[in-house]
Amino acid sequence: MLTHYKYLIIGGGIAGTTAAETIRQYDKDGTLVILSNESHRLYSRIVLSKPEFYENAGAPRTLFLRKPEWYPVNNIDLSCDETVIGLNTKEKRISLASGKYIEYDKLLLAIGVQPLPLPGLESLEAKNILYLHNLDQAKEIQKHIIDSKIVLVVGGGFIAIEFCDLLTKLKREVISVIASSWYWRSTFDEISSRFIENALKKNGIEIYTESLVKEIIGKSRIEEVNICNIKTGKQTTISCSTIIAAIGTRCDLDWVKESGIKCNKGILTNEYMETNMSDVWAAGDCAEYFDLICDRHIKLANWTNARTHGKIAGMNMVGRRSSYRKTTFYSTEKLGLSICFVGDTSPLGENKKTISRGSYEHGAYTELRVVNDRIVGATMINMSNELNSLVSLIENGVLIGNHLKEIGNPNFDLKFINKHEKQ
Amino acid sequence: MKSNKYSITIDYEACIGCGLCNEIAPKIFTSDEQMKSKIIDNALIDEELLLKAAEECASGAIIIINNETGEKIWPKDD
Repeated sequence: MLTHYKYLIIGGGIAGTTAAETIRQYDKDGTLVILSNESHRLYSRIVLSKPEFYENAGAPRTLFLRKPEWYPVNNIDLSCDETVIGLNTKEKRISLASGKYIEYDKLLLAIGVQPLPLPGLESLEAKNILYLHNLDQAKEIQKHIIDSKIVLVVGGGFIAIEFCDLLTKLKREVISVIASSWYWRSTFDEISSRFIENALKKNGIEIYTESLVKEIIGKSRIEEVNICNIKTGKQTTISCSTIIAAIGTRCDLDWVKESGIKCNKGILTNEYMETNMSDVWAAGDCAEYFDLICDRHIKLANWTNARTHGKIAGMNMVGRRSSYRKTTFYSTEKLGLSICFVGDTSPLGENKKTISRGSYEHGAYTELRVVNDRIVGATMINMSNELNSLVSLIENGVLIGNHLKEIGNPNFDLKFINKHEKQ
Repeated sequence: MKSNKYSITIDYEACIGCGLCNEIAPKIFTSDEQMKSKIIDNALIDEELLLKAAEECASGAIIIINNETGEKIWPKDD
């Protein structure tokens, strides 16, 4: 590893690697290093949420997305197991836990996020809780669930629901505990959440809402867990040998903030993925970027966004001005449900209204988020066949004021609005 | 979908609709109403791009079989 690089990328995930690849399309010779705090080259985080990964002890062929030789062939230095502890944007230099310093001309922060730890437990108890954030943690889960008949999943969001789904497919008995009164509350309304709760129950999953893990009982391994209802105080002791916690993520931004880079929940960037400091960009899950379509800063961690961020950041780092203008969406099929969200699905503000399309009884439901007669986002259950139409309505800012009555009817074709209304 | 040499299948449940395959091989892949990957009818298959799209698909959703030999080109079984 050199002591000075033209391009320094912190983070070896999809955002950092895509940025490196993009830079290399335009600058074949500029020195470039990727620093990763993991021990692995680029791998697919998506594969870590698939039952196949946990069924077989080895890694599936689709896990690693780059061959080891890809890095030297592309003149990219990959340095694994590196922890960055400081950044001096005036001197254009980072410091590593190993005591080394590296200078840069252009810096990309693609440092990702970390899982939130389960609160209120003694450190010894907390040691036994598993999280899914990276490959090493996934391997740890792999080891544990081989001989676990009952698995407790804590959390009601995306990763928790993915785990409920995959553990059911692996024929494990699953118990789900959430602190909230409904699932995926940060994104979905109560009706959408009812679909998820019903699907969990249909799949034989025992549910504890408004509840917390209060105590873990067991000597060398978890044997029982004490769950406490927040509202009633009722405590229930259940047998289980594995706990997987997925209650959200956070960015470890201490050294980033100390450098003078502006942060909120993530590292703030404009639509060019530039931070407030010159020659410093941010991309991927850690970036809270200005979304041109939503017209505000957004932090939405998913694979597709991270890859696009990396591409945009890479373009700008080689001086090719390029902005992020994409309607963000996420689509998955879990527990027999098709679940999608698209555009701005943040909590409702003063100007934002909602329109329900379909219903729980109908078996398909979309909650449209509307600002000034324009759809800005939507959450969808069993209506993913309209995803493309909604992306088009959002991206083009189509006025829907003339169709407010019809739009609630799921049989009314959204393409009709796309064809007949002004942008 | 069949070309002369390859059968290409999209694992629809696995596909996350990220659009990478379409970016790498726009003459082979497009998107459907659900924004998921779809193979273009009568696509002209560039073997190198097809394999690159499959290898880089993070959800491992592209399955390629060699019609002549019956060999599974991607994902490999080893």
